[in-house]
This record gives sequence, C-alpha cells and structure tokens, in this order.
Amino acid sequence: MMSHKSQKSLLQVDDHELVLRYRRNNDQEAFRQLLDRHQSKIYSYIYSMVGNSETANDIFQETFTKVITKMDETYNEQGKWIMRIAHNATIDYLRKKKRFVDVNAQDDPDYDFYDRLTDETLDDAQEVIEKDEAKDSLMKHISDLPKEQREVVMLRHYYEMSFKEIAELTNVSINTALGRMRYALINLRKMFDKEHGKETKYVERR
Amino acid sequence: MEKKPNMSNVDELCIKYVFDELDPSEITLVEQAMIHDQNLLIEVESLKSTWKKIRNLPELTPPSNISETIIDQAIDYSSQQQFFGNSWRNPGLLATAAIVLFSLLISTAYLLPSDTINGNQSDDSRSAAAVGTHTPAITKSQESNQDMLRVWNGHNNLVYIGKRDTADDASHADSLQGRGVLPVQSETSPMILSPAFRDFQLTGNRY
Repeated sequence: MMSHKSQKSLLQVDDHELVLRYRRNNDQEAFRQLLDRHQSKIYSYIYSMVGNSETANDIFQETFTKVITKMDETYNEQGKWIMRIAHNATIDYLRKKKRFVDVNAQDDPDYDFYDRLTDETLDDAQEVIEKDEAKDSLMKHISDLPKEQREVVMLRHYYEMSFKEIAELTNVSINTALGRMRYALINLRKMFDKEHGKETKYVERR
Repeated sequence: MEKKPNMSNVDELCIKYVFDELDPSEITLVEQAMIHDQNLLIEVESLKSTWKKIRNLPELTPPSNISETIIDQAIDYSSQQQFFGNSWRNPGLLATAAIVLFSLLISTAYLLPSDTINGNQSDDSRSAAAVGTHTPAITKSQESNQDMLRVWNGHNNLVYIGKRDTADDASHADSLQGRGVLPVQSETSPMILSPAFRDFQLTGNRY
C-alpha cells in the first residue's frame, strides 16, 4: 500500500523521474502516476480526432503500450513525448482510414465530439454540459472543424504546445500552424454567430 | 502623429499575440498597430474571446477497464524486463547461466539414446541392416516405422531385438520370431562416440 506521503511526492515528480523509477526500480506506482497524469488529456485528444470511442480506446491503449515498451527510445526531455506518440498513432489511423474506405464502417452522421460524455460513468460531466449550452455548442462546433484545424486547437488546448512544437509534430511550418489556428478560431466564431442568428461581419483589414 | 507600424505578417503576429508567444518588442508592435487599426483590434479581441471559450472544453476520462489493462501490461512488461534485463546486465548470473546451459548440453549428449544422437541412420539401423541380409522383415519394418524396432544387450550377453507391429502388419513380427535370436559378432571396430556410446555393426548367421 502506498503511503500518502509517497503519493504526494510522486505528484511532484516530473515525467523523467517517473520513467526512471518505473524502468530502473520496477516502481508500478510511478507508472500509475504517469498514466494518471496524462490519460485524460491524451484520451480527449485522440477522441476529438477520431470521433469514435472504440477506436479511441484502441489508439489510447496502443499509445500506452508504446510508452511502456519503447520508453527508452521515445522519452523526450522536452516533454509532450506521450502526446507525440498519441498524435502519431492517431494520424496513422486517420491515414489508413482515408486510404481504405470501409463502406460498412460509415462515420456516425450524428457524431458529436463529446457524445462520449453521455456515458453513465460521466453523469456529473453530462450534467455540467446540460447546464451550459454554450459549452455544448462549442463541442459540436469543434467536431465540425477540418481535421488540421481541430488538431492544432486540441494540441494547444490539452497540451499547451507552442506553435513551434505543433509545427514540428505535424510536419508543417510555424506559419502554417499559426494560420490553421487562426482559421479554426474564425470558423468557430462563424459557427457561434450562425447559431445565435448573428450575421458575421468580416473585418477587411487590407 | 505617430507613424503606423509596418507589419508584413500581421495574421501570424495576431495569433501569436493572442497566445502570448511574442517577445516584448513584437508585443509593442502589435499593440501600436491595433491603436492605428481598429479592425485589427476587433479581430484580435474576437480571436481572444473565441479561444477563451475553447478553454472551457472538459477532459474525457478513458474507460477504467482500459486503464487497468494498461497498468497490468506495465506490470507484466516490467517483470519481464527485471528478469531478462537484469540477467543480461549481471555478468555473474550470465556466467552461471552459460555453465548451466553447457552442463545441460553435455549431460544430454551422455544420456540421450544413440539413435537420437546419430539421427535416422542409427546403430539399430546399421546393425539391423547387417542382420537384415538374413532377416529382410526387419529392414522392411524399419522403413515403415523405426520407432517400433528396439535392439538391446541382455545380461547373458545376447543381443535382443524387439519389434512391435501394427495389427495389419503382424507378419513381420512372425517372421522375426521365426528367425529367432541370431548369434552375432562385431563386424566393425567400435567407434567411440562418448564414454557411454559405441557405434559398431553386428552380423551373424542363422542356426
């Protein structure tokens, strides 16, 4: 049984130290802490990108299998290494999906990014969402964004990635990453305005 | 009047400004530009407020069974690594493992029957082939199933040949029995394979 003191100390330990403790000392609690620390962000990102809980579960598990088995090679002192693995696994899936269109596995036309929140296990979260219509619509609108724009938004939101890091991860220039974010925000703004019956006025700066 | 700042990459600078990724000199540049261009100010404020909404996105929790599976996987993998990883890193343990493996190989060579060591062309095969000039049934039997033929030396220094036939092939056993035990003598000098094994051929004539 883990003492309260050691649990508290693990909370303060950085990823690198957790990896070392798990790898060198077979410290299972260190791994558990690593998982607890990243799982929600990683899962949210994957789910937002694939829009299917079953696939998200698979990719999430695949991500952490790689974390376990390839920890030595993949660990990056710069941080965000688990997100990097998750992102690559997600992109691999999306590429394969694009290449091999399965006529029997059509996308759910009612797909909503945060449908997952309606699960019984997330009743509390669902209640919060029901109380906040604005938040609910935001979720729907984000799932309507083009993949590239959604990717930038989610990497920034869940992992506080800088645009330089996003650009490196997604193999684009920083300006492209910045442009995608800009268009994502403009598109979301349009969606909100449309939803509320407002006419979006585009500001002509040049 | 203050001069309007020149910003060639205004879109990028605006986004960087919203996300607080500009250095102080660039911040000043953008803020000056917003003073001169109200539309730019409106756009930046619009981007900021939209991003603020996004920041309210909740995090999803993966199903607990998936997390538990991952924990189990980590425990299994770590156990394997502890065993194999540490073994390879420990020279003492490695040397012990090598000695044990070597001992096993040696003892296997001593203990295994000669037919296993020599393959299909075993002592049995060769001795039977020699006897087989008078007992063709043995040769035929060997071709069909070598495992059914056993040759051994009894306490009375007689070589025994045991044969187990299938029900539809009993004639071979009868033939072998009819020919009885043959007096045999060594046809070749024994070749010493190991302290426990000799390889030589036997031949003999019927009474």
